[in-house]
Amino acid sequence: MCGICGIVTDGPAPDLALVTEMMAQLYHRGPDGSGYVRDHQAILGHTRLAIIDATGGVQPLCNEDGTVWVTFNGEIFNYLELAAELRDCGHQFRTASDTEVIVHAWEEWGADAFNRFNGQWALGLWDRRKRQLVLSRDRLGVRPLYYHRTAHAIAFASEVKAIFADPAVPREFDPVGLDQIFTYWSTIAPRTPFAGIEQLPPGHLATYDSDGFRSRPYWQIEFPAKGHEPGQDLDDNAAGLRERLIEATRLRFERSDVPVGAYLSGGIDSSVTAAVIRNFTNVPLNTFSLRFAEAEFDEGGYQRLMAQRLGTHHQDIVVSARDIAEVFPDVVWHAESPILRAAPAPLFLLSKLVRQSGYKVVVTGEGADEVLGGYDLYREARVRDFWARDPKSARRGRAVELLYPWMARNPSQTPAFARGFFGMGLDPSDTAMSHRPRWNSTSALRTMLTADLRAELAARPLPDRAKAMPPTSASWDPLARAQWLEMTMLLPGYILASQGDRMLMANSVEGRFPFLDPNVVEFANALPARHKLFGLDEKFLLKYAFADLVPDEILIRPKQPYRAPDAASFFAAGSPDWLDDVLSPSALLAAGVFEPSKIAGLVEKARQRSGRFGNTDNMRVLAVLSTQLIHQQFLANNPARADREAPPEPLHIVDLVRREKEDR
Amino acid sequence: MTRAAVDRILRERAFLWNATDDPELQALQTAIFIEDVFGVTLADEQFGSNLLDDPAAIRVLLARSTSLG
Repeated sequence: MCGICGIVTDGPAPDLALVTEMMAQLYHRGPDGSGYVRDHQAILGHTRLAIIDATGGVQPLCNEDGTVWVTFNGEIFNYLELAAELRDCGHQFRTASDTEVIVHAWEEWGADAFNRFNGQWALGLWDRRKRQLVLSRDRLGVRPLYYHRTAHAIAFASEVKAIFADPAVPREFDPVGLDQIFTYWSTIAPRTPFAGIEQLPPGHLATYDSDGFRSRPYWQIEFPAKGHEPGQDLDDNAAGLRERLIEATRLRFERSDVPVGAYLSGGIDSSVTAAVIRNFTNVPLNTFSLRFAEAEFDEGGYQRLMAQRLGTHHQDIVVSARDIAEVFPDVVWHAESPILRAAPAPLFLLSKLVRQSGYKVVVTGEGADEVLGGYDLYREARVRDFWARDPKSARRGRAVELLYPWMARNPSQTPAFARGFFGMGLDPSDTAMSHRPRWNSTSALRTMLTADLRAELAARPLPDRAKAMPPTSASWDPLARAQWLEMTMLLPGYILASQGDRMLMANSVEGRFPFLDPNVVEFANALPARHKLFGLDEKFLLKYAFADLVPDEILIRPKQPYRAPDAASFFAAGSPDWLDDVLSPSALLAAGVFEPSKIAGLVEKARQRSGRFGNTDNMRVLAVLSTQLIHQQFLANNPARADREAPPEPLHIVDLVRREKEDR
Repeated sequence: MTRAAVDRILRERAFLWNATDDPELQALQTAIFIEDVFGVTLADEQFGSNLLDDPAAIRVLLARSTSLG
């Protein structure tokens, strides 16, 4: 796991000092060393978190004759198998690193190489033969990759802050990016919250050469037509899932030269991955958990149960609302996006514990909800489908009371409100019906925007996301359509980014996610919907397949989504020092996003009763605080914040321009 | 849907984990299950019946639904 960056031009020499500054901005992603390769019109930079082949894996790294160079963030978990295949094709390896597989694979297979990788990556590859830059990102967007294009160059990096190292890059919000966040919870690639900064969509590769910039998918999420799923037998499917998940977990646990730990959340997903490690590998297991001072959010009992069952060396951190408020500016600095939940903050503190305990890598259960049907949103959609079949039924509407059983104030306690909320827009012909309630409630945030911004957004409304679905989606099960929306929007845009990569890499920790292994994902996508969500029983096949490894208490408990105290963190027991600065009328006017009078009303309300806030007001507070912090930290006329002024040592330099001069 | 498919799904149902104490909600949960896996639409008065305990009744329901469709 590392930080990558670079600049490629259509002719002029890139600015080496600028790339060095970009590398310094990525120090936290790779504190073990750094390096760059400089060619006539390209410089690739790298900061390294050394995990595989600490000695030989220094980057940037090249093929046998130095014509292909790569700067790489991530892991290719099947690198041993690919290296063997490439050796059979005549390639000669100088290192034992997974990075070297990339340059040989590109030589051998070109763009087809990426479909052979089982991993999580973002990379920049400079092919000197074609004078071509290749950018590639893993299938589901585990690793980030941003870029900024000008008339004669492209700059790319793992994080936006590195691109902002160039003072010539405009620093402005992108109104459409903000609109996406205030509707969908996250931007949709290539859009970002920043004007002129794009991100490579997951599963894509892009090239930049004398013909310009081009981007295309090399992999797409697919589902079979409903009723035509290849496997219908429960036991066969359970065996298939178990085999793939065990292999995916082993790959992620064993393919490392440093110790790997595991998160235990108290839910089934991380319990399964930890249990697989314990039962199918021969190495000691260290587990890490996040607990909350507030009982409503705490899952400590289930975490201890699983840790004791597995006999792990277990550590946890107890996070309070005050802790969340104090670290929130750092969280936003790393997330580089407005966020509508405080949930990333405790994860930032958890990865800090992991790093302080001497670990650089953790395996987690991320992705299981998207891939195997675990989200409450899927249950909600099924209830709405049920109701939509006969909206006039006297009895169907009560089914909303089956939703969100874990909530303190759940629909069974406010049935009239719940029926009103979930009963809106019941249209079976709407292929995005599953997500309308969430999008509608989130877009209430727009009422806080300035009149100018609202007018600008009204002039260019967001296209209906349902229209982005593949044509074949009409034949998919409704659950598959909901999964597609979730896997292409919230997963890469928020779960793997603001809650994932950014909170882990902030403390130089790599996350590995067995449920997002391509073999697991493609197998799960081909399952009949009932084996994921059986009636209203979520992750049915996962529970069935691993019932022998997970205690019944965890198997049968209703899913409790990961949550943290939101608005109350900033208001209930006093406010952090930074809060008044970012909420001052002058700061709000400078950012130009929110109407100061409306924010004053929201803040007053929060000071009085943030502890009783509902979903919308919690989102409002978090949206305002995080957006204002983004403005303060990235866009206001402040010098670029940098934790370090120079890239990490040792610095590995490859200067191809100088070499050519010396050879002459 | 074939007889074997119906029987398979009814066997799978034995492994359902979810249950609720409220009989009305349980009836709705069962109806959601039946409609989703068998692709039928029940009338309100069919909620709460013991369809799932009676494979023959499910087959009759499916046959009726198919002939109506």
